[in-house]
Amino acid sequence: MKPLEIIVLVSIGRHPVSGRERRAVNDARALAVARSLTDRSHIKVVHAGDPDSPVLAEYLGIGADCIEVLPVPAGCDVMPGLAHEIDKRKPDVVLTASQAERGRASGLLPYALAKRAGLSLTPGVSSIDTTHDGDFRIHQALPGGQRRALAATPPLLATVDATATTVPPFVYARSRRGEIRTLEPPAEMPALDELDIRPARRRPKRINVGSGNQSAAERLRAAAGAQSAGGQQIEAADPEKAAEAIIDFLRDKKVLRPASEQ
Amino acid sequence: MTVRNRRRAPHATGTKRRNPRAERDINRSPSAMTGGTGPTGRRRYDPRAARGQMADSGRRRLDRSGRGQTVVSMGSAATTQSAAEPRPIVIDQPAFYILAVPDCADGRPSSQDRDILGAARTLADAGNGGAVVALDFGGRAALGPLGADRVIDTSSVGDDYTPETRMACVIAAIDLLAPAHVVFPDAGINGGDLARRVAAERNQPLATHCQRVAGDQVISRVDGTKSEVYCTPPLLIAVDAESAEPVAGAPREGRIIEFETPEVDTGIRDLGPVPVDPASIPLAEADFILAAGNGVRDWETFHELSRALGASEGASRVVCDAGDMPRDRQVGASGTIVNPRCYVAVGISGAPQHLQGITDVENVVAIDVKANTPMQKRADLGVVGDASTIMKALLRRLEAKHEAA
Repeated sequence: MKPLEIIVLVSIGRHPVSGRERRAVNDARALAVARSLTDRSHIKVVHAGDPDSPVLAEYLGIGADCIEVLPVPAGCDVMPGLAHEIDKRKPDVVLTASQAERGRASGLLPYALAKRAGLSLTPGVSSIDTTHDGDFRIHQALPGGQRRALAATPPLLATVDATATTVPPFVYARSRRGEIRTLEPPAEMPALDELDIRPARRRPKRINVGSGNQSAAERLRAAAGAQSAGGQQIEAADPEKAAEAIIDFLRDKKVLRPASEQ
Repeated sequence: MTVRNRRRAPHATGTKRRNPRAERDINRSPSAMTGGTGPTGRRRYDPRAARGQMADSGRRRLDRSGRGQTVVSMGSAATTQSAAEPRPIVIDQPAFYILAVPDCADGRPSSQDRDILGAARTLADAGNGGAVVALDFGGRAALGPLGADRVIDTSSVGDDYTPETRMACVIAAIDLLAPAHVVFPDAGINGGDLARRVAAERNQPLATHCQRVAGDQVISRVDGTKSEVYCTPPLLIAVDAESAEPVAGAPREGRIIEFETPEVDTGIRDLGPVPVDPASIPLAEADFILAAGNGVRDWETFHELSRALGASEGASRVVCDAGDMPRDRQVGASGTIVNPRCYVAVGISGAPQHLQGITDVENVVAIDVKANTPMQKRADLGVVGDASTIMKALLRRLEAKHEAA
């Protein structure tokens, strides 16, 4: 079978505490997912931005052989350039983080790229496997630590978030050995519109107090999390009956699957 | 003498002026607006009428919810308004529509879904006489009381993961109603994904991670969490969790709109859930928790039961202090604040610090020998009996079902 051709899109991230530039964690995970799928020589790592950024070497250190940089000045849209690059190379899979760590970080880029390049998009991917007929079997992360299996056909764009594979350790020698290649500037670089950006204000956490005609004592209990749920109580003289009541309750709330499905 | 540093009138700066009287009237019980008509034509509030309203307990109480339970009118017997079903507000000829797309992930609206219906309500009320239309993928949820004037039933889409079909539904609804705004919950692979798909398909601006939604302004968070963008509301708005208030007060009609679900070829197929080892799930994320307290002596049965139920294990502080469970499994104020769909507490009496950790849990089951504990009061199902025998009975039942299948 022909090896998969993969493009990984990487960006410059920011450390949440120090604020320093670093590799974006989920982009690094996307690179790790790509390495689990195919040989290193079939992975193209593409960055749109400043070719001289020292952060790019960090991606070399965690397993990229070469990073190709589309020189796009700050304040310009990277989408048309990246879409053109994807059109030109026709990869089987494009992998990237679900959203950037700095800049607009709206998470819209993968969707715009998928639309423009005609890829099917799967968000929140935790792992990808190939099947013998060339399709992909994807595990998607759900809230609550659950996973869902999906089948998808190439070409595919998958976004990766914090649940994906762990990033391989940084190797200094590899980061020195790797190559950063600057590509031709893209033909289309529309300027992004100016926004009214201000520093974020902290918003108060919402307190779960009841409203309406509750008494002050009830509101206090609600805020402390000790309000009565008004549920039923059974005195279990017979443990079997108690067990049945509990299992029925769990089935009713769909926490346990019904007996017919088990 | 000249007055210096005089504040400029608000309208001179271009900001929209508030109408404090209208804001105050919203919260007043309609039955108390009986003070006649003032010189400006505004209906007046009669404080004596408001004071006359009494709660069921017989104590005098101001009822600002508009749900007025028992109304005592002068010189007549108490008349009971329909307390259970207040009359819904009907908008027959809406000036415009606001489309809300709640996730309804388990067929039920989540707290974020309630919030975005509240945000849609804010937008509809800010312009005059707008109606909120909710797209109901669950198909079973009653969205009228949550603020939806109209409901589009798209339950035929089903519970499977079909983002392309859902996107087609939203786009068909936009074409049908030409709404002024479409409000999504900005929640990961569900609402957040759907909002971005629609934005890319329609090439429309989308305000992501919105922190505040008002008629003239939305505040959207950018640059990680460091900065905010203030802008006029675009067509598509994705609202973060806990960033809007759910609708309070009288319910809405929730009239069903005729709608044909579009057929779509989808590139992605849902193969169903994958079994996950519950012990590997972090407690804060777990969906189903079996927690042990000081009343548990039989640890072998407890661990067996958690395996049989497929539940993650939690514990109270006492148990972690004694070393019976690891510290990362502690639930409560000094441990983890959890939010599972169901929390089964075995032998936990329910110290306030422990209850603080389960404030948001919907379904709580308590198993304990004591009947009058705070945990038993908090529980939706309380079982009074010996924890060990009940756990063994549960195990027997689960194993019997397993063998029968």
